[in-house]
Amino acid sequence: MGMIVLRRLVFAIPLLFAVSLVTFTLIAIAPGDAARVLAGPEATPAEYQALRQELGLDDPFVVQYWHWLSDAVQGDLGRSIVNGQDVAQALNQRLGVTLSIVIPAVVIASLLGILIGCVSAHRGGWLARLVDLTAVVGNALPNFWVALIVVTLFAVTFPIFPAIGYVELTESPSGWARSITLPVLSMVVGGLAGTAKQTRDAMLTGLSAEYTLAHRADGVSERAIVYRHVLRNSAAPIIAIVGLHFVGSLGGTVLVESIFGLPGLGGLAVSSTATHDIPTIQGVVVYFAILVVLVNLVLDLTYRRINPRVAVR
Amino acid sequence: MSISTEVSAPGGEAALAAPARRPGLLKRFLRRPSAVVAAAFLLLVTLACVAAPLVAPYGESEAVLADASSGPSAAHLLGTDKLGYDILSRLLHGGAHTLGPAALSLAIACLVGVPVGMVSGFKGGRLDRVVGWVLDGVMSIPATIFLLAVLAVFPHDLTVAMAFFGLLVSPPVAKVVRSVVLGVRSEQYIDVARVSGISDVGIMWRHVRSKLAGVVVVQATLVAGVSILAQSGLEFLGLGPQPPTPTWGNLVSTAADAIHQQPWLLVPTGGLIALVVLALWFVGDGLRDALAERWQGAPTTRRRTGGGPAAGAAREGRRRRRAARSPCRPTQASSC
Repeated sequence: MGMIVLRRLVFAIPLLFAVSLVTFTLIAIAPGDAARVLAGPEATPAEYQALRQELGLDDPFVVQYWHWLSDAVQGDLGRSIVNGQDVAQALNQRLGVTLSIVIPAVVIASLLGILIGCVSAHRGGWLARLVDLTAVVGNALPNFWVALIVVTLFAVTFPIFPAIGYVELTESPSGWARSITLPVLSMVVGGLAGTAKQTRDAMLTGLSAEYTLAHRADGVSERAIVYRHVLRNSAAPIIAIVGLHFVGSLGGTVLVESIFGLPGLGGLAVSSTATHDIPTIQGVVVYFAILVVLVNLVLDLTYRRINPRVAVR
Repeated sequence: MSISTEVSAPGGEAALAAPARRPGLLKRFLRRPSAVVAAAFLLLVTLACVAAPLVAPYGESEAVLADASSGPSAAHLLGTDKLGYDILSRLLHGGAHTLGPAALSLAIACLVGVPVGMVSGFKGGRLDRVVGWVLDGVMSIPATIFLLAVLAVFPHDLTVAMAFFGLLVSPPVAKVVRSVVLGVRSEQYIDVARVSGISDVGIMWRHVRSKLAGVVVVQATLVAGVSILAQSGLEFLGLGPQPPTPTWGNLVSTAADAIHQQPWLLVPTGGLIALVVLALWFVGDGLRDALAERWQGAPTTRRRTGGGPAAGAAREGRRRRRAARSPCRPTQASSC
């Protein structure tokens, strides 16, 4: 177990390295620089040069990247060029908000999606056709549009939930739950149908396999076949789609947090894009990449738990 | 070259036998009503957007203040916003701004994904494994956040951002192409072609390419849909061209600003994006089914007298292909 975790984490290092290198390169080749922004329009050329020197912008690319990387490994992601706030600190403050909408959204969409997928695989008929259709439609709807419709329905027409804002969990648990309901709901819509369809497809393969025939011949109940045997054997594609859905949901927070005015990482990413706050956006990219690595690790361990044959191999 | 054609006959029986009995791909596609309606809708929207200066009832930034915030009427089929812009005209003019970069993303995804998948599937071995890692790595990058980084560096330049997006969504294309090439590679006629001295490039061009066309088109419809979603999401956030230049995304954000006064505006603006993406996927679905009919059709009809298993296998094959497609559907990577 420990070895697996370690190995996966070691494998993740090249990915994190590559992601950071690509963003860093992108920023290095970009026109304009942080010194120009920080110095402001009234700075004299001498002041500007001094600032460039101070920020290390005159160093060769590799040296700059090395400085950034060695700081980043120690948890120092630099300072925001807009308000001078420590980037890592700003991100840590906002991480909780993002996780408190992404995790419930992915968990609800996955559990419901798997349940609907199982039922439709084993019942077939209209339910199966409905799952097929909603999977396509659900993916085609722009998620910012879904969120706006959710707002129109549940915050404007029927003002049940707040349209905007976030309440800390520690401040008021019920207020917190109310403030994340609509964001979570609008994120569930896209993932639910995709998970259901993927589950159904995987289950159908299992239900037509020979081991299912053998179970039926042995008189194992249909319920046990579906939920105990086939579901377990279909875990690989289902877990794969949950992972993809998580990555998609992280991206989705960018839009959803902006629409609902939540102070999370996605909203921060949008505002720092608009203000060209490069250290901050770079930090968000790194945080998101780490989150993806961690979630893939959790999913991998879950899969090993469900299907121990992988561990033997 | 007579050897290679003779030997290729048993290997490619489905491909060779099918045209004699089955109607062409286009005909089979045309038999699917939902796909045909979707294709016609896409054609209509594309033409209308391209010809927007001619067909749109009002100009790109032509406001009629007297008619501001009105619902659908004869003068304004989809209503107007609070500045008196005609929504239908804005959508048509915005089409060019939105569909252009999305098309670029599609082109890059195919230009990168297809060769990578072909080489990786054909060469196999270590190269294939390394490519597999890289593709998995790229797929685990949250595309939206990466695009924001690109836009922080190149402000309001959706062309650059969508070019990167094309790279980020190329792995599913590469994976599908790779799996097709892997299937073809083990065919006997490929061995024969190789023995007769045709270079790898020659084999890919002459024998592998034809098998890929359909699959690539199906993937292209998916990528196109995802690109439009991502692009309009960025525009919605105000990171694309600024108003008064209309884009599909910033029209939705105009509608969002008027959500209390005029919730109706959300329907045509976001609805068009949803319908276009949906239509793309229906076309893809129809095409895939039409292709499956060719691959599966010939052996099924031939062996039907022999019993059910072949027909069952054909159904199974088609279903498995659908199942195999869904994880590659790049929507999740980008659900904007």
